[in-house]
Amino acid sequence: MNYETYPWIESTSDLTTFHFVSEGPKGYINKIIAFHPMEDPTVFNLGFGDTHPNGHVDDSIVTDNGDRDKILATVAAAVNIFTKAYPDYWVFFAGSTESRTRLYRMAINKHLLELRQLYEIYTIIDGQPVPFYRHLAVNSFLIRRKI
Amino acid sequence: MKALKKGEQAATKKPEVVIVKDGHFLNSLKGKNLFPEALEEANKIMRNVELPKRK
Repeated sequence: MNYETYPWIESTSDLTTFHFVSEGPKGYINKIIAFHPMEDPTVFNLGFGDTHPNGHVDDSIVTDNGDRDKILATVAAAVNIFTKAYPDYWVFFAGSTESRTRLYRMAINKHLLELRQLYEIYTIIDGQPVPFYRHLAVNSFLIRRKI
Repeated sequence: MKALKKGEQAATKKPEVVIVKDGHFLNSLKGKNLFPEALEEANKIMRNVELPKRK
């Protein structure tokens, strides 16, 4: 994806938790990207949200800071970093809201050919992993880096 | 300039990653379940799913 990303992101040494600052008309907003192991420890849930000064992290807030594509590209970059470090782990993600899921779906549809070169891309339908194909109306994604 | 191999394009626009030092607030978040509702929902969806074998 050739979208501009934020120029730097901070990460913990294990590359599971990332922080960057969104800049726009609403000001400076702290963003957190976290990969957390699921019940199957080979699958990590991708979480993304804003962090507040009290330490609370909110994944449903819509900040509308005018930098949607830049944020998506930065999250995609974090996925790239995580999966490069842990190529055998799966990453599961779904939007915290219907509109966010739609946004992820649109972004994946738009860059599907390119993303397929890097990742195996599945969705879950009726409890089964199904290879994702363009314009499939799904609510979740499961990806793993190709090696 | 080195020619890009297939699949490298997605990695060309990438941010610089700074690993934070001890005491940085990010380390206090490491390993915590920051998105419990999303994780619960994700586990529900993924429970009993047989993961594809690597091709």
